[in-house]
Amino acid sequence: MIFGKRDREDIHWMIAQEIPALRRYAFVLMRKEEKRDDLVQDTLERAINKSHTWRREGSIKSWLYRIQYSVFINKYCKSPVKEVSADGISDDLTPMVSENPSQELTVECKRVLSAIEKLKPRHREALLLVAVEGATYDQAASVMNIPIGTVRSRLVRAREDLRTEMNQDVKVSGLRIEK
Amino acid sequence: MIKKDSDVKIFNGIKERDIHAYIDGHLDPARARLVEAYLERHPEIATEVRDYVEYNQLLKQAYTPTEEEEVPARLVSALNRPVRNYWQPVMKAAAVVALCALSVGVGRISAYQEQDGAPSDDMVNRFIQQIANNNADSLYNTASMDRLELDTNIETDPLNWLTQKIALEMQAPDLSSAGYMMTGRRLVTRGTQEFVELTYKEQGGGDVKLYLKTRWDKNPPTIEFVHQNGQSFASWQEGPLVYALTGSLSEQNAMRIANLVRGSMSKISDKNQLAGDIIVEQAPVMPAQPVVREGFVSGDDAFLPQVNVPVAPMAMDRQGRFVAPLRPKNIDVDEHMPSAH
Repeated sequence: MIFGKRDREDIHWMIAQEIPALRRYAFVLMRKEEKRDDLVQDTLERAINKSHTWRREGSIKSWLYRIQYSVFINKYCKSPVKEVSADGISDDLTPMVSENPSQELTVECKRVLSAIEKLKPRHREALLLVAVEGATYDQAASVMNIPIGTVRSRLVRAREDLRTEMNQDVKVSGLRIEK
Repeated sequence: MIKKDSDVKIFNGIKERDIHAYIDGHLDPARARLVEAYLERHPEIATEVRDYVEYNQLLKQAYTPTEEEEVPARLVSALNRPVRNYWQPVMKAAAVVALCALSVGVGRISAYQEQDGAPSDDMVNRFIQQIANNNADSLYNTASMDRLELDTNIETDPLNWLTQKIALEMQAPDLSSAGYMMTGRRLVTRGTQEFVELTYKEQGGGDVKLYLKTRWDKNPPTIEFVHQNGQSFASWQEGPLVYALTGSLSEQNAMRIANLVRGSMSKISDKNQLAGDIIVEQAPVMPAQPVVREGFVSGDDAFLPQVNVPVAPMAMDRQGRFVAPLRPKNIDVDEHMPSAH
């Protein structure tokens, strides 16, 4: 497909509108705050370079998420060495909430963020894609390049594990949640 | 507990997958009412579903602030410039030298223009052949090596420094300030010569093509070899570097180590797949033939270790400065090598 100047400008504009969503999705995927915008920048550069491959099927947001997830898996998930902070605690175990001290989160938000960090990464990604990004199951399957059935099973496992963690958290802290 | 098998009907045609779709708000109203009817009959599952809905809401709340932050300028500008890492794999294949730019249709190089302003295919072929026949050394721009500011501390990470020297970290040239945007790239082959062709287009104007060719010499290098007083010395030039190897080795072992060094260094160019499906062929590592000399040609005594030292592959950049990136840690060989300055 050959794009003219106006088409290219349209696509650039559409991509630009999705930058906040891409940053949020990077926040979902990445723990280190300073790396998140690197991921978004890589995604944008790749999207611009590959804009001619977008077939205008589905939303451009799904297409961008697919690129971002692919970049995340291929570029940022390859290091087998976990980064370990000075206190010996792996950064992977550091709750994401600690990265954004300025956020005014409720206690419950902090609890769910802490609990979700304990899920398996692929399960967590499926849940956050659906719950936070509002992706349908087929969109999530497309983004993660997996069958819809796998999305569902990851989602179910993620929810069950999250609930277990949340209940565990309540037992440990002695909190009682008023429903 | 919600049933595990998503295909099993659990109530009036409702399946487990319907309950999760209900949690995520993906059900149509009629089917959602069926799920709610089921949940009324199963309070334990209803509690579980409420928890899941609450988790969804909490997660949304937790992540929303990121979306409300101001977008950093660098992300906005990323939409208006060529890809940052696009050339890294090419540059890792070898030091690439920009050979020439061919102007098409806009009169940048008038010598190659026909009267109507566009060059013929024959002209393009002749031009590329001229590039292919050109001696890259004469076109080599040492300034391009110096252009790199070392952002890596050589004392702590010399390998990164060397990688930078080899890779040059070149980006696809940005011609946007002149009004040109990159619109295409492809691999062009003329005989055994291969070029990457970049096409830039000016808004409302013509194209500019830029050809890039690796300097990689496909012939195996000649290894200069000396063995004296139990010490072996081998040196050769390959790619953008000059190598010098010394150690208490037999001639045979020195050659073996030299070829191991060559093989190891060539691995940096294994990933020669470019984004955009361009592949630049990598020169195969062929066994090098030694040239054994009597004594030291250079007569540079500073190059003669007087004590046994472990094998320490050395590399020298184009300015003739030695770097010692390949030595094992805790081995001090600097005193046996020429000064880097």
